Amino acid sequence: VNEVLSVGLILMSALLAGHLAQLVRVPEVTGYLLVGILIGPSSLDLISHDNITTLGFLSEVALGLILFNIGVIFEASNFRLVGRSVVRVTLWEATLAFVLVFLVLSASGLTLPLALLLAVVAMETAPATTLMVLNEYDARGPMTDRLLAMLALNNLYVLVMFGVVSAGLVVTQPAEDGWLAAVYRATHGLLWTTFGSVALGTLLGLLMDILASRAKEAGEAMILSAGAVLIAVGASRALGLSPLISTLALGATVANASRHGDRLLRALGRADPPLYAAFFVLAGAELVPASVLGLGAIGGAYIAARASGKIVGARIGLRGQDVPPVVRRHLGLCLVSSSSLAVGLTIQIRAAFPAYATTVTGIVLAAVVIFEIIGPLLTRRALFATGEAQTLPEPLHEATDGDLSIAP
Amino acid sequence: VTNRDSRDDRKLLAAPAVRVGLAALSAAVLIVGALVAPRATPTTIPVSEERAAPLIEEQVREVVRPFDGIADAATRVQIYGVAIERPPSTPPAGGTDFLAPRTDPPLPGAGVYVTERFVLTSLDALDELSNPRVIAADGTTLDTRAAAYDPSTGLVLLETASIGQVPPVAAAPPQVGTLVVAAAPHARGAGARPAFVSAVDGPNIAVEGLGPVARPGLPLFTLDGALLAIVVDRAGRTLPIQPMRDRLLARAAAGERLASIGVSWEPRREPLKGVADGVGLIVTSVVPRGPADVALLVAGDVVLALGDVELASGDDLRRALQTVGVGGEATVRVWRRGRSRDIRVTPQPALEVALLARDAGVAAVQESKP
Repeated sequence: VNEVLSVGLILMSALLAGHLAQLVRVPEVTGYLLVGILIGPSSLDLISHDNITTLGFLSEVALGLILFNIGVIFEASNFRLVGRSVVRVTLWEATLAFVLVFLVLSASGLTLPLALLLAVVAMETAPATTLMVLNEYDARGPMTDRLLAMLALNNLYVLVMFGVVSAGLVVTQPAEDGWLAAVYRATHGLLWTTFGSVALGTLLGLLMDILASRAKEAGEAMILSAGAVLIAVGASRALGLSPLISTLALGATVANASRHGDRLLRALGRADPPLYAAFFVLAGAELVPASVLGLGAIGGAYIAARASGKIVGARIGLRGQDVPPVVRRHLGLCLVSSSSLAVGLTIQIRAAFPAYATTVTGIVLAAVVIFEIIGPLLTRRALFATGEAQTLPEPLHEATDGDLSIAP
Repeated sequence: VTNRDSRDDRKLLAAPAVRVGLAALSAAVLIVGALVAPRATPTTIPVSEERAAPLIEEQVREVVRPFDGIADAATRVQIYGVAIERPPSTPPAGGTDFLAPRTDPPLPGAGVYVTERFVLTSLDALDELSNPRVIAADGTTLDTRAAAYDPSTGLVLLETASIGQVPPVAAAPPQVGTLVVAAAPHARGAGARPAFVSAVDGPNIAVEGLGPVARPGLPLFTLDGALLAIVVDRAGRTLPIQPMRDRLLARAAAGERLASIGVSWEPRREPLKGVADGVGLIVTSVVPRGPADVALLVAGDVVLALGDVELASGDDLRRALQTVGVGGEATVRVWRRGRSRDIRVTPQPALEVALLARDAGVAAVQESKP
C-alpha cells in the first residue's frame, strides 16, 4: 500500500470506528486506537511499518497542534485563577507515580538505574488522548479547567525530570571522552531542551503576532497558524529541541501577546479532525498487543504502581482545595492514559542507555497498550460522574454506571 | 499597530518594550545555547586496511618502541576480527520523538573467526539481539545465527558466511610473558595494541597493556599471527581460545540448544510439610520478562518439580530443562504460601534469557551452567 492510499484507508477506517465507538458508548479515541491495531502491522498489516515510518511526520504535526492549543491555558489572567492549585496537583500525581513505581520496581529486584528510568516514564500523562476525550464530550467545569493545564505542566515536569535522571545516570556511566565531558553533555542537553525550546516558541509566537494583524481572512489566519506550528515542530527537530515544549510555548505566547490570539487558535479548528483521527489510528497501528502477553510480574507491578500513584496523588493534591468532592475522587482517573511521550522517552533511553533498552522497551510498550485503551474509558467515566460532559448521547443513568464493563 | 483596543492592554505582553525584550532574550538563549553545544560523540567508522595500517603503526611506535614486528603482526591479524552491528533505534512510535532516530556505531573488535563459518564472541559484546549482523574487516556486513552458547563463560558462537581466511589457533596454552597483539578492526586510532600475558590462573589469564580496547569479544593474537585468547567481559576477563573453541564447536555440531526458564535459586533448608527432605529449590530471583517471569513465578517460590523430575539439585533442574527443550511446554510444581500449585512455563534459549538478565542487571542465571 503506498502512503497516499494508506492515509485514505486510515481516515475511512477512523470514520467507521468513530461511529461504532458512539454506538457502544466508548470514546471515539478508543475506536481510533482499536481500528489502528486492527489495520496495523500487528494484525491485518494494511498499514505496514514502512507506511508508519513515512507518516511519522503527520503524528508529529498533530501533536504539535494539540500542544499549541493546550498552550493557550497559560494565558495570564486565566492561569492566575487555577495556576497554584494545578501546579500542586501535578506535582503530587506525577511525583507519587514516580515514587511508587521506583519503590515497587526496586523491591522486585531491578537495578537502581533501570527502576529510575521506568519511574520517570511512568510520570507521563498523554495530552492528546485526554484532550480528545474532553473535546468529544464538550466537557466544561472545574475538573476540565484544571485538566488542560495539568497535562501541559505534567509533560514539562516529565521532560525536566527525565533530563535530571539521565544526567545523573550518565555521570555514573563510564564515558569514552571522560567524566567532565559527559556531565557537560548531560547538563547542556537538559538546559537546552527546556530553555531553548521555550525561547524558540516565544520567538515564533511574537513573530506570529506581528504577522497576524496582516492576516485578516480566516483562510490567511489558518495558513499563518499552521505555518507557525510546523516551523516550531520542524525547527525543534533540526535544533535538537523538544517540539512538545516549543509548541506549548508558542501557544502560550500567542495567547498572552496577541489580541488576535483567539482568532488564530480557532483558525485551525476545521483542519484538526482528519489530522487527529489519523494521529490516533497511527498511534494504534504502532501498538503491539502481543507485548502484553510478555509483561510478567514486574510489568504488572509497574502498571499497578503507576495507576495508583496517579489516582491517589491527584486526590492528595486536591485536598483542601475548593472543588466538589466528586471532582476530587475522579480527577486521577483522567490522568491514567499514557502514550506518545512515554514511547518517545523509551526511544531516548534506547539511544542513551542501550544496556537497559530491552527491559524498558518491553515493559513500557506493553503498559502503553493497556493505558491507551483503559485511559480514555476512565476519562469518560470521570467526565460523566462529575457531570462535566455536556453532550449526553443517552440518558444520564446509563452513562454513569457500568460503562467500564466494556473495557477489554 | 496603531488602533489598539482596550482588551489588548490587559494582555501580559502588551507593552512593545516587553515584547522586544522578550524576543531579544529568546534569541540570545537560542544563539548562546547553540554556540556552547557539546560536540557530538565521536563515532567509530570502518576504515580500509590501507588507511588503517599507518594509524596502527603510529600507535604501536608510540607505545612500545623496542618490540619490532608488532605493527606487521597487527596489520596481518586485523582481517580475522569482526565488529558487531547494533540494531538501529526504531523510528519514532507515536510520532513524538524529539531526536532524530539514530543508529549506534558498531562495536569494534567484538569477535573473531575461529573456523570458516563460525565467529566466536561473548554475551557482553551483543547488544540485544542473539543473531546480530557482523561487519568483517573489509566492511562486508554478514547475517549470523547463534549456534552455541556457554553459560559458564558467556562465550557465544555465531554461524555466518565465510570470509575465506581463518587464523591458525595457538596450540600451546598461554605462558606468562607471551607477547600478544589485540586486533580491533573498525576502531580508528586504537586498531592494535601490543600487550603481554601477565598471569595465568587456572582457565583465566590476565593480559596487561590492552588499555581502552579491552572490549568483550576482543581477540588476542601471538606475534606469529596465531589466535591465542579472547576477552570475555567488561571487567577484562580473558580466556584461551583453543579449549573454549572446541567446546562450543562440539555443542554447535550436536545442535544442542541450552534451555532456560530464567531463575536463580538456592537449596532449600527449611522443612516443608508434605515434601520429602532435600527436594525443592528456592527461587532467589527471576529474570524480568524471562519465561519464569512471564509465568508469574516470583522470588521466594520453592520449585519442587519440573515436568516429572523432582528437583533436589541444580543438576536435576538442568536435566529436566534439557528434556523439555527450548519452546517446549512444562509444568512446574511450585510451593507458595503453604500449598503447592502447578504453573505452566515455556523454556527459552539460554542465550536469550541471559541477554534479558544482563540488560535488567539481575543475577546470572545459575540453572543452565553445564
